[in-house]
Amino acid sequence: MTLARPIVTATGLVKHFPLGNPFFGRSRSYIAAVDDCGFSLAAGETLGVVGESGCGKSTIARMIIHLVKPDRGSIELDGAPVGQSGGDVRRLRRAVQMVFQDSYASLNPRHTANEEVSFGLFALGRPRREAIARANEALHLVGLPPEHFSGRYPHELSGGQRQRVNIARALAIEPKVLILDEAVSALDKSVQAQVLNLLVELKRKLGLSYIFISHDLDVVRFVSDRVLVMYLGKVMEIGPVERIYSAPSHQYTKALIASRLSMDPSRRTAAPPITGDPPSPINPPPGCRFAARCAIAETLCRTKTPELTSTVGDPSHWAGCYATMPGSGHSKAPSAQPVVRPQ
Amino acid sequence: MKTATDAERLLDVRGLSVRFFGDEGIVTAVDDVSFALSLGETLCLLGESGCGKTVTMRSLMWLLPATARITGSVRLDGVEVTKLQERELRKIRGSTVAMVFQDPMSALDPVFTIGQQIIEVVVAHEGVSRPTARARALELLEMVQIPSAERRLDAFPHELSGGLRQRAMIALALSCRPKLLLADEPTTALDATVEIQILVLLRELQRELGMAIILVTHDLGVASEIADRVAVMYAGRLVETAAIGELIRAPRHPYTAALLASTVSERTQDSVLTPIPGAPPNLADIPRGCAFAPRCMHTFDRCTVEAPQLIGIGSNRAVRCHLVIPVAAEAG
Repeated sequence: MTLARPIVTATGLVKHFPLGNPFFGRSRSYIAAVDDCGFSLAAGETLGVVGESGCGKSTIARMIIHLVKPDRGSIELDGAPVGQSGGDVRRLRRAVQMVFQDSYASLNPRHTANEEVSFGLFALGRPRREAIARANEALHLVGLPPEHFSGRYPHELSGGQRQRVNIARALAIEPKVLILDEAVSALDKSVQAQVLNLLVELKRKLGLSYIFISHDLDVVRFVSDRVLVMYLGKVMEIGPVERIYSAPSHQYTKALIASRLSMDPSRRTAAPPITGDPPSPINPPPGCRFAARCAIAETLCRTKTPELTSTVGDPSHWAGCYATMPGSGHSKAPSAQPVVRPQ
Repeated sequence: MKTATDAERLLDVRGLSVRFFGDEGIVTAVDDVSFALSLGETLCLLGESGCGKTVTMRSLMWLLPATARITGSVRLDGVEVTKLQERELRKIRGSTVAMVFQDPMSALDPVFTIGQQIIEVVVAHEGVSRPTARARALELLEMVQIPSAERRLDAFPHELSGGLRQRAMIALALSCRPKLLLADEPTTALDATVEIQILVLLRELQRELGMAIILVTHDLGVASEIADRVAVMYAGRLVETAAIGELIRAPRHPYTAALLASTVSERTQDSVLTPIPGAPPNLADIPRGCAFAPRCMHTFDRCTVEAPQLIGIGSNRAVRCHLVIPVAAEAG
């Protein structure tokens, strides 16, 4: 979808979690965590992934680094497919690292900052002294001077400092891609800003690519080049950040963007853009996943799943919504041959 | 912040301090907090984790562990809450003042239906028959816009989605028509499309029922959607109180200004995010002078030796900072 060289390409990823005890016959129900999702990440790019709880954004992240095995679909790293073999997974994890939301749970309470950060380097067979020196460099890089912080345990650090250790650990083995799964969500605003600035700076300095997963639409807008919008395991829309926020194409994206809090008491939201909660991802109905909450859903939307189609006006902006898809048959859809407007 | 309408105030908090005596020494969670609130008004207590906003709110209905020592005065609807016995407190909790918690799943009882939980409260406080209370419960679920309310009355909390559960929690809190509704981060656990629904609902309910609301939040966006006034807290102290519009437009305390500058929003989109250096102080060891001084970019000698007082500027505004010069003569 982008012209720049893709570093990670995911195609047709599917992950269904069966419900109930698999020992007693085949389970009839399943959670469609991720259903036929694909995207590419260009070198040096930040791809934001937004969506509400249960939309599958974390499952996608976990499939990318093989913490969860996809049922179907493939992942390519630097143009080469990544298989299930141990060697392939090791190669993948050397290039792609992840930072989790809970900075406390994701650190070993009995490891000092330096032990935590150097652990991955030991595992890769680096000599002890080199690993410790590299870990100190990484700590320095994330703004934790090793002379003060390298001997500290997680409980001796603040939330922001712990998240910096997590980032240092991910960076120590010099990955190309960092997956940040709600990495700043648990932090207070003032500390969140520190970590966001750090991430922006590190990206520039080290030429990293980010997959930035968050439910916070403002934060995603701040860091991302492109944004992927998910709903109940499906990609609803993907496109350049400014298009997604100023000219969303999918009805769900429109509702999500309009749900943002105003930060301006003179422009309060008069009425909520949509009602109800995201439904459960158990045995989703056919058709568009958003149809049940969509104000303009028609029979077509409830019967056939819309494919992602590039939007009128921007070939890098894709959406899966019949209402904006030319010639789809939806009563609100533009005609099949859109009139090319002179610029 | 004193005005001629003192007598009509629903809530008047003066010099409220809450201290906890624990292993780490004395923790001053709330330090000399004063504010007042009238019916129909919404106040947001705003601050970061550990600033004392939740403890402040909980002390209004004395919902604190036994290790807490409260000093100061909390007058609610003409009654001095700090002097009440446990039996009298139980009477006002749920009737005069009610609370909505952040996590409805742990605040609602998992083994009783939504209906049973509301009926219990209505029967206990109003002494009506169970059928009357059930009719009231149904009315309440409809009021908070729960679809198929009749059926949801017999649902258990785990059978409801997050948004419906929070609506049920609000219905429960409103069951005895409280004059003061306390809400502790009521939308923080909710998805964006649901959060705005709950905020709009709270606004509508207040217009209908005329109660006062105190809402604790860390999110300036939430405050912008619902607050009339905001009280910003830092390290247990109120540092600024102002009407929400004035606060967003022209923050006067350096901490409020820094918090605004470090919050990602549409406004900060094309500019640089300015974080606040360092971290909030340990409440067991608050620095002498202004608690924000070590992180403040305007600190001068006086800040580190003398704690500033809350100074009134204008009719409804007060700031705790040495840099602010009192304007009106009504310094509080």
